[in-house]
Amino acid sequence: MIDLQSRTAELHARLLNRIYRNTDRLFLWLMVVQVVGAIVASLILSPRTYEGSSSFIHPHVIFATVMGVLIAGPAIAIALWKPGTAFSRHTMAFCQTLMSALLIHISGGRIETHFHVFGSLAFLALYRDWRILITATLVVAADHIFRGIYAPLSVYGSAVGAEWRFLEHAGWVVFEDVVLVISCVRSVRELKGIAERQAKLEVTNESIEAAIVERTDELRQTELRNSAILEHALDAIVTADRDGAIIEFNPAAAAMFEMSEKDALMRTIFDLFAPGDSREMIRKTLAKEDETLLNKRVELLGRRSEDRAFAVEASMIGLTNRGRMIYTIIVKDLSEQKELQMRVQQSNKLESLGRLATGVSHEVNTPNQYIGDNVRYVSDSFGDIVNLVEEYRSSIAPERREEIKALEDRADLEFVLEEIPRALGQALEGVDRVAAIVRSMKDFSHQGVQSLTTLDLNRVVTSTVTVARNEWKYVAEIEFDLAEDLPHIQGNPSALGQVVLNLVVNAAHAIKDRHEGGSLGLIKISTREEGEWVVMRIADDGGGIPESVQKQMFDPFFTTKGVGIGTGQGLAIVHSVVVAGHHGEIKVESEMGRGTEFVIRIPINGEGIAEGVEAA
Amino acid sequence: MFVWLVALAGAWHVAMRYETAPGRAASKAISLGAEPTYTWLLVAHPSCPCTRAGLAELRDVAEKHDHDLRVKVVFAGLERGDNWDLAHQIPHVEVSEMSADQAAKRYDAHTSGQTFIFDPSGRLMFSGGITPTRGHEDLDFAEEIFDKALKAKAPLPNYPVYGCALGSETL
Repeated sequence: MIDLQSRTAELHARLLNRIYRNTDRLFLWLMVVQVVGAIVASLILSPRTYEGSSSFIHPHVIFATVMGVLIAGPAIAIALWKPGTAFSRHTMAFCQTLMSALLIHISGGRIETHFHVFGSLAFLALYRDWRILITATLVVAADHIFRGIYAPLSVYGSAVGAEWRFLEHAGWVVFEDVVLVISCVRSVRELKGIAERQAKLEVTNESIEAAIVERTDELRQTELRNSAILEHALDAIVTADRDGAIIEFNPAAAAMFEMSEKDALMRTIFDLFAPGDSREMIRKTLAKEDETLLNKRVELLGRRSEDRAFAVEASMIGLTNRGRMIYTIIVKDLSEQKELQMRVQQSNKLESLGRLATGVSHEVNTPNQYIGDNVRYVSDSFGDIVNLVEEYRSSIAPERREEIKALEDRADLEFVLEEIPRALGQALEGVDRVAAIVRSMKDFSHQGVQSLTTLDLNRVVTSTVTVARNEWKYVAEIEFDLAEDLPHIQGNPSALGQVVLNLVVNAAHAIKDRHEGGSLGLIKISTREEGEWVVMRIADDGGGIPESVQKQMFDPFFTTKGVGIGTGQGLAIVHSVVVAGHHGEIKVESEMGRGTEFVIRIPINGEGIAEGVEAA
Repeated sequence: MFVWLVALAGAWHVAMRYETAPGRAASKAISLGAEPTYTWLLVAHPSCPCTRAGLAELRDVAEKHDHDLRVKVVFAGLERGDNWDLAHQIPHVEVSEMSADQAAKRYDAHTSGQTFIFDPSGRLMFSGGITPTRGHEDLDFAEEIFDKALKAKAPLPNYPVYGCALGSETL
């Protein structure tokens, strides 16, 4: 920290020293000029002396040269080797007044030359050191007194009153001294003021610099924090100018939009959103035509590479940066949330359906049971009745046999006796089928309220296929090839039932599209144990899936089905349940015109899937 | 420092000695014919710079005493130097020239600036220089001499003459 007082003193001393040195240098040249001037003056006034027709250099010229060099020499030497010292200043004062004396002498004491003394004092005042004026004045006074006594003509040009004339001259010199001393003192005071202002300025600068350093550090910390936020934010943060050109693109954005920062910086913010309403809203916001998006959360459709749309929640902030508007949009990926919502809805729907099925199965099962029991009772009893009829026939009197035969024919007894057991068998078959459906419905409805559990995938498959019979029975037959010793797995029966249902329904739709003539297609469902995995294959002989569709078919909202038929969620749920929910794998093998096979692989031990499957 | 001061003082002393060292003054009694006024005769070297002061003083006196003073300037040397023009600036001056030997023979003048003041009867009232030292112009000094000459009943004592040697070979 700069101390104001000591810094002021230091600067003041430095300023004065600079003045002293500059004035020393000035006097150096002044001395040279004066010596030359003295020699030139002596050459003009008395260049040569004569003896008859012979002439010689005038002794005045030699005197001016010798005296000039003697006076100027020390001054010049000190200005060169000891500048800026008090000794140099007083030497200059001494020599300069001697120079005045020399010039006065050379001019023969001309009064006009005495102005050189006043000029010299003025020059000496340039040092701003009033003390050297005293030195100069003392030298002038001593010269005038001494020469006034011993050589008055050389100083006054006249011997009249020379003894006291120095008083007049000294008086004027003192008068000038007073003025110059005041000037020097004021000048030094002003210099001190300048030094103090300079010191204050430096102190202020130092505090400003310290503040700048501190502020810069704070800004750097803030920048680091902002960078860290941008770097590690889970939401995409994208900044663009008013034309939409992207100028900032954080890693979350790169992951969300599947685009590198380098690529993004060459594109516009519009490219990040699906064409249509979403992109239009962004455009209107930047054009200030619509402020819906500013500082509010709005659901839009984002756009990944290859035109894959996904649900996002976005909010935009408009800022002025250096006179230019820039916009920062914060985008949150709603894909999982939407999927979860849909799954919850589906789950709710299944749960309702399950409750309904439970109720219906209960209501149907009871009468079906006693219908079955009664039909079996009737069927079992009918044999006794047939035996009894045969007994009756054998015991009929011959004369009445014709009459009885006619009655039997009229009643078509033979046909009845033959068809009733068949009818009862068919009735029992129907009752058994109703019982099987009711049992499947109970299983299916029971699955709807389960979460993670140990399950038999074969049972999930059969119950789901049974329940979904109405979806496939008019277009295909189902061929099961289920492994009898299939190990149980850890999983969510409801979610896996949904997988089976979606794949079977999709297979049925694919077959229906291909077999428009009415012939039934074939759906093959098989299960196997393969190492640590249980593998389920669901194959159809539909039209197959184009390769371009295969890349997107697991994306939410992607569908090739007509309006009202497909939601674009079926395979997305399958993918989510198998991969995310059960840590399984999905593989699709499809050949156009031959059909498609989905291969689902679920780990048997189900380690680590508890949370995932709950979420699924 | 001391050496320096001594050198300064020595140089000044030498200069002062030179400036206050008079030349050879006239010693013979000379006279002039009767004239209506006082006559001021100055013998000068044509180029001697020291004599410029004397010529300037003489001009000043001549301007003040235009009617009662006759001024003659005799150049001891036949060349025309700077002093020739100065001499002709003196009012009503009579300028003549002669050799240094002739000047020495006729006026016993050996040093430039040698001055003689004669009264109207032709009697020599003053002989000597009219500058207090070599080359120093002092108008009061010349005026004072002329006043003394005017008022004097008898010739004034001789004054030293400061100027260049005229170079006469006459002893």
